[in-house]
Amino acid sequence: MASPIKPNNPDNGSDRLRTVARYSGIGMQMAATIGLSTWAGYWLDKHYQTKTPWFTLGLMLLGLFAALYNVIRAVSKGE
Amino acid sequence: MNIVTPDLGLIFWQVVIFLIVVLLLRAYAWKPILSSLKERESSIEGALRMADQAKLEMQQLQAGNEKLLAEARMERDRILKEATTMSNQFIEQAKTKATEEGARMIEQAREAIRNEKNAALAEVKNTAAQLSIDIAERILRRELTDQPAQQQLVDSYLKEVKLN
Amino acid sequence: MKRLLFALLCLLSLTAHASEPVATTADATESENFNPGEMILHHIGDSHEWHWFSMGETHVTTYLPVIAYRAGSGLSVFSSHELAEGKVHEGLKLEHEHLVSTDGAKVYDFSITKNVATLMIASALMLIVFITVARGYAKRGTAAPRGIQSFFEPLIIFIRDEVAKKSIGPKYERYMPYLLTVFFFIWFSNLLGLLPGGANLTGNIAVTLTLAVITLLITLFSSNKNYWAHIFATPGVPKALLPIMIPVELIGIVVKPFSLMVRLFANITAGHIVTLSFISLIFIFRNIGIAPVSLAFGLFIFFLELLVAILQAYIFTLLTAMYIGGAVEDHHDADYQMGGGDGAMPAKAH
Repeated sequence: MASPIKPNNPDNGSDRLRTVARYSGIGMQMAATIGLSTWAGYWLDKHYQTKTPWFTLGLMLLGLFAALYNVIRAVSKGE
Repeated sequence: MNIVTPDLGLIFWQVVIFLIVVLLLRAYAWKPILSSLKERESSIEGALRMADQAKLEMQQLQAGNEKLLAEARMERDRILKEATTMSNQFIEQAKTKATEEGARMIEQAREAIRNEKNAALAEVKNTAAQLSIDIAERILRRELTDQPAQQQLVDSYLKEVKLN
Repeated sequence: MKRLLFALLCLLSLTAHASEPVATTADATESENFNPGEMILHHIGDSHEWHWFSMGETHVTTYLPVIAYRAGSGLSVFSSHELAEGKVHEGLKLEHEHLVSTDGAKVYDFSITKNVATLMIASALMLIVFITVARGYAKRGTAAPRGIQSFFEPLIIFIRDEVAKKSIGPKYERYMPYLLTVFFFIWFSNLLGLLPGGANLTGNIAVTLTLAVITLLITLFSSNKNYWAHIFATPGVPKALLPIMIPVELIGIVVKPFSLMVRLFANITAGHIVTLSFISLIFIFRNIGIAPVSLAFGLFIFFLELLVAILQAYIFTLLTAMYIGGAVEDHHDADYQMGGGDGAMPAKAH
């Protein structure tokens, strides 16, 4: 009950390093999710030669949503 | 050469060489290293546990010794106390007995003295009585021959009675 | 003393790179023309020969074997010396370090390039080092470690305890060989890349891609039912939302190794670019006065890179272990915490 936000307080150097690495991983994943899905949409639009870039738009939004969802999940996992 | 385009040849070599390295190192390095580490850790752990156990045993032994010592001390105290009591009792008994004996002996002596006294008294009485009788006999024998004297005697007795 | 020597070597190797594009470009008239962008790109890229350094016009280069396969003419194996300075050999030539066929056929290039050679050196180094370490254990048994053994033991224990055990849990032992190999491979390669004249192996997308794909495959092969249940029927999500959630989860699977790949590639490449840029300043300003400042910054970045070398190896290994851990975990704690309910948190803290 003392610290409900962070059950595993980083009490030593290795744990702190671990936390830093973890959160850097989360950030990287967020960027990669949006980037990858946008790129996939772009590729699909190019491949099917769509007039309006629906794939780009749709996948970008999906990527944005996925990134946010994964970040929220990863952060609320807490440990 | 575009730096973000993966090169097929390099991927091929990377896969082949890396997998070979993983397999070789797994067999000839990681497994022996990890198992020795584990062995060493468990041996250290075992040594520590043994030391702890020895310490515990030592403590137990010490505690046992102390208990034994305490018990011995208690026993000694008990024996000492018992001996004291017993000796006191003896002394008391002896004292009582001595007193009793003394008392008894004094009593006996007294008894004997009393008896002797009584016997002596009885003999004195007897002798006195014999003497009296003898005297009386002789007097009577003499007196009965003299009537007036007889009368005089009676009278004097009577006088005496009256005086009393 | 060592640093001084390094600085000197660095300078030498850079003069080499500086003059190289000039040498390869036939119509370059003045050797003074220095293009830092091209030099840096050349340095971080791969090449078919190993160019160590140049002294004036003397180039010290090791020519590596070229191995190429074409559907028509089959396998060709020859020294890259045959292709030096734009020469054509067996119908093959180099165009911007890219092997092409003169008749336009598709070329599968399996050459032992500078990166492949570095890969082999790193692998050989690892085999020698760790088999020596293992022998140390065999010899000394449970006695205290010594020499090279005592240098690597803390690292191995760190990977085992802080990375594998904490991230994967009780099943960690199966993954130890991969985690240890990947950690030391990345670290060794990073360090080799920092040596003057060294190749930018871990800053090559093909290498990081391969490592990331192996991580992905291990994650997928060790995943349990629970992992897939999460993806196709995320607990706590209404059925109607599943068509959206499934792609989101699938994107997550691909993105994890993708981010591993990009991070390692970008960090190492960026480090090389920054170091080289600082040193390039000397040639851009053509003034020896700038050299001490530039070298100082270059050296500073170099020592930073030494740190980054091990840090990136650690991060790659840690995240790999975490992904594996996510695939093999059994309990469902994470689901209950997802809603952000405070009730589940203290329960876990016990």
